[in-house]
Amino acid sequence: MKTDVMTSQERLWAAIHLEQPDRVPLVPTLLPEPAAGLAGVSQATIASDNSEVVKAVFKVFDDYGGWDAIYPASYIPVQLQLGGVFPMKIKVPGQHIADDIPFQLEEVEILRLEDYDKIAEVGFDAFFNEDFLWRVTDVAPDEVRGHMDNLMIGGASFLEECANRDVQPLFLASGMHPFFKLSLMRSLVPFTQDIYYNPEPVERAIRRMTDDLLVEQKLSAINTGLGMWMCCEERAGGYFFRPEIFERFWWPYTKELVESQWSEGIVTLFHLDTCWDKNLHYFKELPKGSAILELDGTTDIFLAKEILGDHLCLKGDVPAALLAVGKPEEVTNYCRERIEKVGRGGGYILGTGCSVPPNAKPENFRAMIESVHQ
Amino acid sequence: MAHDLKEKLKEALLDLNNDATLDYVQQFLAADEMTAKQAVDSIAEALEIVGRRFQEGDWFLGELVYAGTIAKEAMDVLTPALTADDARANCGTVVVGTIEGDMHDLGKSIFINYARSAGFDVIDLGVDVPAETFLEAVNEHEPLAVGMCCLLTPAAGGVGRVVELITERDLRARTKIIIGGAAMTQAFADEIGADAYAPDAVTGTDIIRGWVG
Repeated sequence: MKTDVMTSQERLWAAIHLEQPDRVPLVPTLLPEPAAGLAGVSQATIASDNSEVVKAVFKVFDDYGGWDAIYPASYIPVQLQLGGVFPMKIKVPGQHIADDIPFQLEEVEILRLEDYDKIAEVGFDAFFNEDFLWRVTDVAPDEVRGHMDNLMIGGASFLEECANRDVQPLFLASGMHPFFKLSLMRSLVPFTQDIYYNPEPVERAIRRMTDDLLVEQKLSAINTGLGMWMCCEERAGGYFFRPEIFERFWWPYTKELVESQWSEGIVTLFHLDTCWDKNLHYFKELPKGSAILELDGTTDIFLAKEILGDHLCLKGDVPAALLAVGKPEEVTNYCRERIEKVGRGGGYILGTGCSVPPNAKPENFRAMIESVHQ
Repeated sequence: MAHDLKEKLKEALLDLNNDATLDYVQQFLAADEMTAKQAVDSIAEALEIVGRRFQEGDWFLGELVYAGTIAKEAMDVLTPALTADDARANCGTVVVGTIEGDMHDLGKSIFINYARSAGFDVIDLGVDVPAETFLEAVNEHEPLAVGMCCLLTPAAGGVGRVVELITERDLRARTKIIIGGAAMTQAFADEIGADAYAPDAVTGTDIIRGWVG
């Protein structure tokens, strides 16, 4: 067991700045659902009570010895829907599905072709709050305020617990990339059809949503004081779409977002699920050190190191399936290989691929946590 | 003319041109010297090319999904026009569903579109399907294969339960089991005794095609 000589923040930011930390920093994506699994709380409980979410997250943090920064997790699913983070129908445990099943998103065609121009005209927030939300939610209008108040209270409690342990949230500002958001709202097949045969309305909506994000997320990220915001994208990469589509609908807007945040010294954490092997070289165009690529195990992280190792920090990529069904020694070997090869010279944060699964074996999660200390 | 129309239909699908594909399908149905079966063969040829391009990394999931959707629309038009012999000549029946506890529909739908267009008769059990429902469907339809989709690791136990039930009833000689979805792996397939794991719809269809006697 090595002795730490840096603080968690020093270690984290050394890695982000592509410098050599005392050891590879560790930031698992522990969302409420896996926290419930590891803390022995039902999915229905943490899907209905913000205070139970915070309790579960910090119980796991304490039980497993902690890590270097903590993923923000103090919400319940309906608040993600009401806040437009997941602008979709949702299935909530204890309400729509069994108590022990994690909440799920229902991807169906709800956004209509003509809605792209409504978004372009009034902006996403106005369109969502005045129209779209009421197509997907079963929450009554007079209940919304109460849910959002609870979210604020849960958030304050989360920050207090962070302060009690002298650990910082990894970020507090976040946004789904417009391309991903529209794809989920429209659903994959019609969205694909649109970008082939009606590209202009899609582009107008993405343009407006990007413009809004440029203002909102910059302000939001500055206000958190954490120097980071998270941008989630699971569909634009080379598994789903060819480079021409990526170059037209995703990359220019993404560059704008990153460069705008970077002008204030704010780093973009990309949450990139699915395989991005064919897109990695584009990220060389971003300013050095301006972003972190959080990969899920399907992108070749060693290839990412080869292409981007001297340019951007990488994070990941212990697969959910490995944590759920693998053996502790397999988890240790997986993590150690990444620590040694991807972590060499800095620029690497050990994390999970997408998130810790709700049924992660405790011994596997512990093996991952302990791997950075070996 | 037959050759021209077959090629045009194939190319329209490969261009992902929905309108042109359906237009050529109508031309097939209107022409005295053409049969619906010829149009179906043309679509199958196009889908084979789509699958090969996807597996070789030249095409992408969005295109695979869209091609499958266009092919399905074309098949919906053509199926009523197939002769009884043509309709019976399908590759076999496949029962498909997303396991209990998991509501994900997209991956399953991609597979179903693709497999149907490739000539399989697919029985879609939907999402959140209990193990016992899979067994009932296997008993009722006597399929060549049963396919289970699972994207949530907490629901994976249900996939193993289906394998147990089908094995206990001694139905494995008649029905093969194939699994897919983000929570599934080859190692998991080996562990529960499934016949195959498919990382994508094209591979899954190819594997099942290999089981056709």
